[in-house]
Amino acid sequence: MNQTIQDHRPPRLPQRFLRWYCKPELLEDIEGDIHEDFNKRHTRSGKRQAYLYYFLDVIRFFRPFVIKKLFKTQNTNTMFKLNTVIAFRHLAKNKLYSFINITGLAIGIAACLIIAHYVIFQLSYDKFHENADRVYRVHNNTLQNGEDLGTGFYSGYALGPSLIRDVPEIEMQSRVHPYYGGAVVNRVVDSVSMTPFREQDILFVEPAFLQMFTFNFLQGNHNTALNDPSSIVITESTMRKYFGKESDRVIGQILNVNGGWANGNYLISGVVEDFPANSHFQFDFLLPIERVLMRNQYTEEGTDWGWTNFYSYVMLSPQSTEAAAEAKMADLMHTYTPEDLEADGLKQTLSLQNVPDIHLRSEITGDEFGTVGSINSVYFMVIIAVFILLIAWINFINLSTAKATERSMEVGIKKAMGALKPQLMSQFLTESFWVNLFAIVLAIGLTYTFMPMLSEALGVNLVVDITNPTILGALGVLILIGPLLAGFYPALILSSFKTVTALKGRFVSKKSHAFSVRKGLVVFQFVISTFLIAGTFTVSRQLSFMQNQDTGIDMSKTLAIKGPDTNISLASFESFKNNMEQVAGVEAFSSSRSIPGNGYNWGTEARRSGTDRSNSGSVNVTWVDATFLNTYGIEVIAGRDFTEAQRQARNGMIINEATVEAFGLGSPEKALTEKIILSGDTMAIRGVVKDHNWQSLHKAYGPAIFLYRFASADFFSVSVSPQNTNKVISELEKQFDIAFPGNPVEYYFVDDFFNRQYKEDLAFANIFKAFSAFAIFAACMGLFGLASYSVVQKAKEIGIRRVLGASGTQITFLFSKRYLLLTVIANTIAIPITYFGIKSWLENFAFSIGITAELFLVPMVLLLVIATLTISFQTVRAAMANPVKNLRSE
Amino acid sequence: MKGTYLGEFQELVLLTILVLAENAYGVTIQDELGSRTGRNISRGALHTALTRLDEKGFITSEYGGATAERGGRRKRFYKVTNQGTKALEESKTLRDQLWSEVPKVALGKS
Repeated sequence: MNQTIQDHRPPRLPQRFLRWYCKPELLEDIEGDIHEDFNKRHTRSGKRQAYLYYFLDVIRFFRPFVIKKLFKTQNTNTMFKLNTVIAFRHLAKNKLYSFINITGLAIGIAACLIIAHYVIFQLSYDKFHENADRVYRVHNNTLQNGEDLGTGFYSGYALGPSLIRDVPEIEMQSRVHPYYGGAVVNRVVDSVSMTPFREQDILFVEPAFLQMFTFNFLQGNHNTALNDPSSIVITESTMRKYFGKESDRVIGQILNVNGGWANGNYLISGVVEDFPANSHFQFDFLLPIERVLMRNQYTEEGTDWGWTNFYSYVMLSPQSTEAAAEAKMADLMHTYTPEDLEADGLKQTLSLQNVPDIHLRSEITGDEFGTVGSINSVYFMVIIAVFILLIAWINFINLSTAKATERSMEVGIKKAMGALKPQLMSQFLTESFWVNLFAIVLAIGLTYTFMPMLSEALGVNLVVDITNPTILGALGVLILIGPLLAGFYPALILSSFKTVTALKGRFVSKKSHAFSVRKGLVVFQFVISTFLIAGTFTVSRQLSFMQNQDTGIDMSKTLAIKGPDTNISLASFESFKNNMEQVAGVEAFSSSRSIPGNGYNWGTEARRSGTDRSNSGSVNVTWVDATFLNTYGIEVIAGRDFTEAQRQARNGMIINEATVEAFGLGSPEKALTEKIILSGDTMAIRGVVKDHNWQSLHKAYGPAIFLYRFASADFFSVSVSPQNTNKVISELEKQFDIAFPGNPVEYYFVDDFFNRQYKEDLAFANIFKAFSAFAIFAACMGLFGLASYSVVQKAKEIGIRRVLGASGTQITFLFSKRYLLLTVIANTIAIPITYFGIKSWLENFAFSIGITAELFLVPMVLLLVIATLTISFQTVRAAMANPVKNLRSE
Repeated sequence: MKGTYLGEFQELVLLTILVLAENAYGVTIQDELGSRTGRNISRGALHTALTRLDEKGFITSEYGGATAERGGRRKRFYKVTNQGTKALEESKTLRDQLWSEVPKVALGKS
């Protein structure tokens, strides 16, 4: 025994908790044990650990045999039991009502849980990095003559080192250079190449990259993995792909990377666990940046700021602030490249964005990499979740108050026996509690059922995690708040019946405010439903519009083939081209550096010849050959197409209408006489093409320029006559393999490829549809319940009307009328809300369907039809029933 | 059957109490068991076992003097009752019997 162990005071809260739950006869013993251990730990490992273990011990003792009978003697317990029994009897007696109530609530809660998972996932981006709070990406905002040209993150390779030099707050930095265009990678065993794979996600990074971000190294370690210029770090799944069963020891194995940027053999120096999906960047391979910096392109004089192919991440030292670092770096571009910026009339400001903010709050105006979320869509989902939950609760309230009639007798008798209002309220609240509890249990089941569907729609792998603290918290709140919120109003109404009138069973007066509240709630539900239906309708219309819109490019019968990544000879290209042109069914063959939907090759600036540099604007350039415009059916409206020639100079440039407009070239015809200075080179305009959608319809037409290139190895495009498609494809595979051995062949129809840009939009539409369906279904259930009760209540009235000669149709109409009136009111309120919602969503698209009356009318009619059908279920049945039955029963 | 059955963990606990003789209380039993088995014994599990053993009448307990290291609380010392010792012996006899009847071949090597 250690004699120097001192007595310390254990933490209060856990101690009190222990004393509260522990059986008195066990308390001294258990508390003593924990305390002794606590003192030992305190002396050995310090206060914090001792506290932690004390706390854990207390929690771990919370076991049945230790826990005393809580609330043993309290009367509330008995009342709760009694109320529970009554609640269960009621639920069992009114099966339909209970079913509607519980399922409605469950659907609402399930929808909320699913959305909560999605939102938590969206908010979790990049938070898993240990240093997430001090890792930033460097952004660059550009103003031209005071006009904001946007914010980007690309910079020259000189920026990274100068940040370290000039900004003392920055502890480390890493430049990143993506392997643009991808590469072919194969394993090399004893100088023999194994099966090659085409890879896209390759990044050149610095060793600091492994320090700033958190990687879980399975083999190798983050301190040394990228120190050697011939090293390569791969992910676990990449390892499996290349090494299969021999995965246990791959350090030192050789991978050959061949794609033009830094070809050669690399030795595997590390394997990291696959990166979580909630990261703004993804990779399969990491290569040392030295390798790409060795290229001529980056070693020539004057390329240090010019080739903006890099981006930088920095990590600030723990005590410094973002603002301090930004202040020192803001004008760095002007310190290093003052002349260029001044001549172009540009003002560039560097800033930082914290990495966890990138996914949802990107400051970038151009393209981000990977899937981009937006904080708005997260808010939007939260709003939908709240709506759905409200609808579900309103259902509950409406159904419970509607049922009030049936229970008036019960309330009356209880009151006559001396029950007080609070006691009655507690009874109804208990009932509400049980319904909510059942609903939550059912909701958890539904969540497990529907989550895979949502995961698929979103393209993210979401897994239900009930143990997530936020989810648990939400469930806890739902269990506590739900019954109160949904149960309070009905409980208030039910318990406030006057004893005598209640006993007479005639408490429902037309003036009762219960009914106006209920109607208000129904209207509110339908406002939400209209909004959601209209939203769904708009979203799917817009999507089909985008996918079927005439882009000005003929994509449906054009097949694009991804060019080989290895260096190829002109001869093998020409033989491939000639052979393909011979294939029956091939109408045209073209090679280009990019294709529609793949972005442009080069973003640079241009101006009209004869104006000064401050008039320049940005343009996008793509290199194509002489048959490209023909292959893609892009219409030349003035001048001529390129002609086949070995050199570019003869061909000049072909511009689109937007370029004519942007640089003030007058009409297309007049533009042919002008010249354009493109990044310093003066070039003649050979032709003008019609504006076309080179990128998704989110983006407006912008100045785009085609330059001539005799042969490109990036993309081959083949225009195919439809009946020969299969033959062309099989021939294509054969020829490709003959001409470019060792390259995997990859091809797709250009329209499919182009529509891949809408993946995010489709996911959004799917979610929207799913939750609208949820909401509408819940709302209809509510309406169904209401209608059914009003029919039951008025069974006698219906009977008398029938006897007196009213037709079934008249009665159906009579009873449907007031609910239909409610939907009409709801629609009227919904119109302005919907209008603004649709408008702001459509603003995301440069080309949109526009707001038409149809977008409102169709959902309104649809809702009316749905509502009518729901109500008629009940009203028709009541109207058709034998009136004698209803009149006879008492 | 229930009531006299001795689980593996309970058996270990009983034996540990015997080993510790005069000094068998919560913390020492836990430490001793932990160091001998190399397992991480949770205090809750130990107390569960002790309660069960007590219910079966295999152990009795009495309070010792208060000590400062326990914040002024008394230690509860455990003793194995005759019934407990008997149960242990029975269990041992059963095992010995079984062991003696295992054919040599089944034990493998040599």
